[in-house]
Amino acid sequence: MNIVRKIIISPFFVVFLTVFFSFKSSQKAKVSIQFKNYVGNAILQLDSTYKNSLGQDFIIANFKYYIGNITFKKTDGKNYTTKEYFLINEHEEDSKQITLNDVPEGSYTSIEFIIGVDSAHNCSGLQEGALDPTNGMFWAWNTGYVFLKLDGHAPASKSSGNVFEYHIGGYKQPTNSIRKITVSFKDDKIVSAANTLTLSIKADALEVLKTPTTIDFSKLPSVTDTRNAATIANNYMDMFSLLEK
Amino acid sequence: MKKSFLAILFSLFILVLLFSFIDNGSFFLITKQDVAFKKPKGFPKPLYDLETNKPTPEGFMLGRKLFYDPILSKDNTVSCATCHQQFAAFAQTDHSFSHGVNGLFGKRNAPALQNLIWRDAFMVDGGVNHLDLQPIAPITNPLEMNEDLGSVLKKLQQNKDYVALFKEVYNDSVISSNHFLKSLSQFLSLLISADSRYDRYKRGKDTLSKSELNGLKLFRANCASCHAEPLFTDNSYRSNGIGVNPVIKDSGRYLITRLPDDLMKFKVPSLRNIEVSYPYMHDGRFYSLKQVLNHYSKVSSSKNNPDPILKNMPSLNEQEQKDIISFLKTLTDKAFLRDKRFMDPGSYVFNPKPIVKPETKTATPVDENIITKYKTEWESVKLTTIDGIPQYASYIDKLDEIPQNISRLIKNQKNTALENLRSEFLASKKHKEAIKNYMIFGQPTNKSEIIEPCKKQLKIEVSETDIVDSQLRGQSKKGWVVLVKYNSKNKSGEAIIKTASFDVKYNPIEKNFVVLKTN
Repeated sequence: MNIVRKIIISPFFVVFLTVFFSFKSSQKAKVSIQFKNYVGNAILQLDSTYKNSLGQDFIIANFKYYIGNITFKKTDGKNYTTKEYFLINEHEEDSKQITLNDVPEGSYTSIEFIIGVDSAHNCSGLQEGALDPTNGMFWAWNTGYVFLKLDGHAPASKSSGNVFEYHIGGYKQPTNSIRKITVSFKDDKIVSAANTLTLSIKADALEVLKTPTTIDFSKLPSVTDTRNAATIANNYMDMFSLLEK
Repeated sequence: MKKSFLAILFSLFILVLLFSFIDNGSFFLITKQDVAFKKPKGFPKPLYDLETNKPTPEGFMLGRKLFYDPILSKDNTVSCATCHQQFAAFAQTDHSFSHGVNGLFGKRNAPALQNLIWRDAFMVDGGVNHLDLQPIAPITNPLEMNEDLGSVLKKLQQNKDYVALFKEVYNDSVISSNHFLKSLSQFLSLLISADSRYDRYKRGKDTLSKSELNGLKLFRANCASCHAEPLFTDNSYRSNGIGVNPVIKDSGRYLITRLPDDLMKFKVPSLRNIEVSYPYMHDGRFYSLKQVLNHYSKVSSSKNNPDPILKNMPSLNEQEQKDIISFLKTLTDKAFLRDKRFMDPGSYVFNPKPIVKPETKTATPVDENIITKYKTEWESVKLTTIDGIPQYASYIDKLDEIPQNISRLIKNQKNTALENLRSEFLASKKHKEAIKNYMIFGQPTNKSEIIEPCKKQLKIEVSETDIVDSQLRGQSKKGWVVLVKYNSKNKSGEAIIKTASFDVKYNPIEKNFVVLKTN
């Protein structure tokens, strides 16, 4: 009996309790992020014909990209980052909705993420899950992931079958195509276990083809290695925005 | 007296050696000791982290099986070993470019595969940055194996042997890209060459000749800044001034970095086993070391933008070149080139069968009828002959089927009598003889397969029109006996018919017939 009483009144026990409850108080919550692919202001339809800013017609056949290092930012700097990678694939409805299970409860001002795969994951050999090399987003001859793929048809393209293909990758300077994206919230978003936060993010495929560099299908129908990759990466840097309800 | 005693001792040794490896195919089985990594003396720390993928006997054997299996290619015709042959230090002898699927040619000379865990990057342009990822490049290259990684995994998943082997190694019967590539790495990481005469000289266990020593001195003065000891490469990329190949137009490292500075730079290759890994250079343009030395002798005046380090390369006279070449030949590591661990385990005789882990078995009583049935079956298997050629392959297949059937029967139930019967069959003289004969005689499909190499050999001295008859006479202890008759003249100039006799041996590794001796 005596020992138990001694433990309870000991200062160590008090510290332990404080620490224990402080951990307990920062509860983890679920956040769901929905990526919605668009072309301009219209939801992307794989069989529809669109026009680029030069008035050239095109159809999109394939649109995939990697999202990683998602960071939830707070004004006090107590940010939360997940190291997980996600492959968003227009052909797979499930891939467009991602769930993060361990975001600490709190009020956040913005999220940050990269489009691409960071250098560490490009250099450290075998990866699994979204980064499994069987996912068709891997360059075997020049090790590294393809960060974004936009393939389709455009009559203006002179390549065989009038196809265009933009496979953008490269994690090393001077051809680093990893781009950091910030999506700010107009009002702070509350993450809580009681009420799962859902964010809808618009990804505008048209932005791959414009600002700052307008892509002319007749002049640049294909980018499949690090040449010109940075140009396209600079274009799609601004393709994400928050869809507020 | 002493000589003949030694000869007998030696033959006994050879005999014991031969039988020790014929026995149950244990020759190709791998033990824990076989896969234990020992850093060669003087070598730096490996760059590949073996702790993350530590070779196990089963993992290594699985990797080896995959390395030798054409299932990795689109049409199941090309394996890794097609272009990476052990006797050439896992390069391809005498091929500037190797054949891929559909008879297509690759665009680069297949490099030797050795000491890979000390490499920071792979391919002559250094495009691949990790050993585990390297196999994806040849598998998916349209000129090489032209296959999709996902499709390889699907094919393996449909093969029950592989499913069992992967289950055995990773305790997972779903074959993932991760497990597939890790198995290959377990085999590749142990391809270590560090026992050449040069290495033994360094360890004070061998001596070099005067010419070899002079070669070493010249090598250290003129070549070692790029081909740095002990790996004989500094892992850098350099232009060696040979100029662009006008057909394949390979610009080397530039393809990876797109930096103009990297045009025509290639990864400095290791010179270990250089004697057997010809032809040389990224496009295999030089077939002899003499051509290579000749190039470097004139490189300082090359107009093909050689690396600045080559500007001071002196012109070497003929003797100096010869000495360097004799030194380079001391880098041949015969133990590596013949290491049994790395040999083709073969398609069926030495197929590493998945080891069935002992499960809780219930004992069943011995059924005398079943034992008699198997014994009769075993006795009734006879070696057949077609067109004078014994059918060893089907003979072994039929013999092996019986113990396999027993294994299947006793898989989930304990039956000592049947287990003993199975062991008895496998250890029997009949089974051993069958394997021994197959190892010596092989399985020719027709007589000409054996006779033709003899005629070819004879044609070096005798014109084809003079050959009048050729026949397969039978077998001796050493192999096949072939007689070829041909027109000739005796001492006084009269026309007579002479007979040449040949011993032909089967080479189970290359699966061809080799003429051993002419009488």
